[in-house]
Amino acid sequence: MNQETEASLQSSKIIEEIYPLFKKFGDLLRERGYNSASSGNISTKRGSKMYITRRGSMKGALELSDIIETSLDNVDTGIVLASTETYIHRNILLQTPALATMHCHPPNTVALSMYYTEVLCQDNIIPIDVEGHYILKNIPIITLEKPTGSKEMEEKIPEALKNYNIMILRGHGVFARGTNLEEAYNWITVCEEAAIIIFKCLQLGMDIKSLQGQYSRW
Amino acid sequence: MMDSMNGWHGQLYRVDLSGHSFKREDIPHYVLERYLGGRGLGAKYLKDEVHPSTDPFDKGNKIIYATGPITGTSIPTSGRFSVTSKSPLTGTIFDCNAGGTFGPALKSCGIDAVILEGKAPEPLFLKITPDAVEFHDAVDAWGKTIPGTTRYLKEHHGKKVKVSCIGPAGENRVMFANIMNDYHHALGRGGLGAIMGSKQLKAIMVDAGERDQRKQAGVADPDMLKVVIKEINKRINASPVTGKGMRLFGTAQLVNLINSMGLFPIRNFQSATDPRADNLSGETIREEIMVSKTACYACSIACGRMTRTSTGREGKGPEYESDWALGADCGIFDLEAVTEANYDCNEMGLDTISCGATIACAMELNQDGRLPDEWSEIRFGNANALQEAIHKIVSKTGIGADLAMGSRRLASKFGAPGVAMQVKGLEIPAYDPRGAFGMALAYATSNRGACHLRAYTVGAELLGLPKMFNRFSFSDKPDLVVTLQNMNAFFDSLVACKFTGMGVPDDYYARALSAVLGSEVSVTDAEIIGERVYNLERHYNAMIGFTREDDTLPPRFSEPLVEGPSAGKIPPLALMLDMYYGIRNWDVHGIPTTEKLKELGISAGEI
Ligand code: SF4
Repeated sequence: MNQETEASLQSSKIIEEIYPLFKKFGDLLRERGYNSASSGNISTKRGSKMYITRRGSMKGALELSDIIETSLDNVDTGIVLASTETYIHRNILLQTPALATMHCHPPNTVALSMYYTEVLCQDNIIPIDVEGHYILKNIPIITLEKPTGSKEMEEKIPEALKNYNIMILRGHGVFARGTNLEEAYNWITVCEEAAIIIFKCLQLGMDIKSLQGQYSRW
Repeated sequence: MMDSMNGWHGQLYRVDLSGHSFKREDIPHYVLERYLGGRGLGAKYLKDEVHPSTDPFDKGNKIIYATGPITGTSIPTSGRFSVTSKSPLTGTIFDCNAGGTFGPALKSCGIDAVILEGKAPEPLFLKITPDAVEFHDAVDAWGKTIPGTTRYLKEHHGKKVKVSCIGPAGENRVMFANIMNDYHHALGRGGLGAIMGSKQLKAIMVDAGERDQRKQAGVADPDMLKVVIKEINKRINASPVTGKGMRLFGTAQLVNLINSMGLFPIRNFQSATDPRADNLSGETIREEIMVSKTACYACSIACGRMTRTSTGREGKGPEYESDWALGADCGIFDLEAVTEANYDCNEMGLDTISCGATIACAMELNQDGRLPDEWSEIRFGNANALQEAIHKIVSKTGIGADLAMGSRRLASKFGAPGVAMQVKGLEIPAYDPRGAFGMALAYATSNRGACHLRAYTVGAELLGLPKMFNRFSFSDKPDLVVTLQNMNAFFDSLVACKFTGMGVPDDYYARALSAVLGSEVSVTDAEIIGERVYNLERHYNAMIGFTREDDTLPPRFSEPLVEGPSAGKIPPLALMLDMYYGIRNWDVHGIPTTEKLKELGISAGEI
């Protein structure tokens, strides 16, 4: 068998293992209403390759052909088909301990990130519920001049994830990293739940600051 | 990244055993920043100072004791220290770390490390204090067991001294002799005790003096450290593994679990599940022989078990690996026999894993009719033969002389190298790699030979920590193994106990280190430090001559198991290895590229 055939066989074996996982988490993101028909993206690292959802693919109805293989360290034609946010994913996978990343638009988190006050959402969201405290503690928020497809995103988002598992792009969505997709997905759900609880407590007129604990330095 | 000396003293003792002299020496700040301490610091000094061609028993080999930047703080499980040298069993660079109280005492002497050089002309004890290294005659104590030596030193030098010593196995240079400290804690693997024996160094004791004389390294941000410690403890308590299983059943909590999943090796890995496994389980230990729990310094997990058998003997263990190696691997399911064999190993200073696995290898050689008559008692399931074999190994008499070489040399001598369940000469521990493909790659690529602790994929593949991975998938394992190897090298350089990883996310320890040092070390920085340590070790091994050929598994694992939940599976090692080398940026022979070494700031030596 020549090298090329061997490599393509290996790729199809890898995609065979990855597809059910992408499908599962794409479906879950849709069920939870974290994405519009084709927003968000999912990626994972396998050796020197990255596997990422196709640009414009419907994350809630992924097909095998929606998984694109592209090199992690070289530019190849895979990027023509891959998500517009491929470079952000690639940098997260290269610059942090992430083995999987997920991006989506959980509505409560996005809304809360735009509620910019002295107490809330300047540079971070500090969950006030027990699970949010326990698991996430402090979620950084970054504000960008151009919050889609910009060079600035490719640099700042991975930077924010160097010491955190999830970060928020103000008014846009979240990026999460994990050892696998399940872990990244978990951070997203905990983050969104924490945002919902903050909203509810705000509605009840509660003093959010006093509930934040000591996590501002986390 | 770091700009203060919080966390370290920045000094070491360099001890010349041949000339009975010592000096205090500065450790360059950049070395501490890059390698932290423990395993990392040991690897750095060994690579710089011990030529790769040095015979492990030559006086040119060195032994490096090292603590880390969190040793002696109240960070959970931070009481560990490590020892690094060139192993006689594997011929590779080799480090071990141990708990107990020896590490914090060593650091309280105002040093971060001790480098032992040369060879003492007569048996020797070292006494380390904040002011000096003393040399004491050990002729009278030569031949004493671990508890005997420890008691002897406490009687002669005061109860407060902390002791790290070898037993008769180390003196006799058994290839898998260990170093023990605080009576029960083992620097278990790789024959480090034999190197100490070859230098005629019986023990190192530490006397850090009264409380007000002890020297503590600084902590930059005690308030933040308090917050992080509280969160680490919350995690430890909440995790079913560290908060419940370990506390109730010790590490042997895994026996029934691993057996039920079909990767608990039986009779030298000839099968991987047995209904009698429960005789050795954590539950049975708790019911039948456990006396109390025991913990290392600053640890609330308390995975240690103090036990007593019906003969009235008492000791520590068995832990999961020892329980398996001296038990199921030898086809022995008699808990008392296994426990007493474990006590013997601990008292004589033997690595329980390599000891049990080497005996198991001999049992299979015997089963296949490859051994002469004097081996006739070495049969699977023969508990009576176990203790006798251990004593013969220690004294290297009769069959013991062959067993004392370890399984690789033993099986080769009797013409069946494939019967030795080892990688790079180190005996494989208690997980059949056919039942967890990540473990297959982890064993094959470990820098110190088959080791479960370099990348404990069991957490992800079997326990769902942090999240469950499919244990029979291959494509996700190379990345997982690289990440775990790097992070564990970071942990071993802190030095913290890797069992915390079953409850506490990695970034918590990076945050604890940041609070100690006063400058941010992100979890990403932590992984890079670990990667540097891993590559340095690999580079040193490459200079010795290790290549892809050594990143392999015994041929048995190319055949599937025939029964049990792991039946029919074979880990695709070659495929995973290619991917693994790609991630590491090593060449096709498994050697770190110059570009990689440069990126990590490692000065390249000759290969
Ligand atoms: S978990 Fe066990 S081995 Fe680790 S530090 Fe605690 S008692 Fe020691």
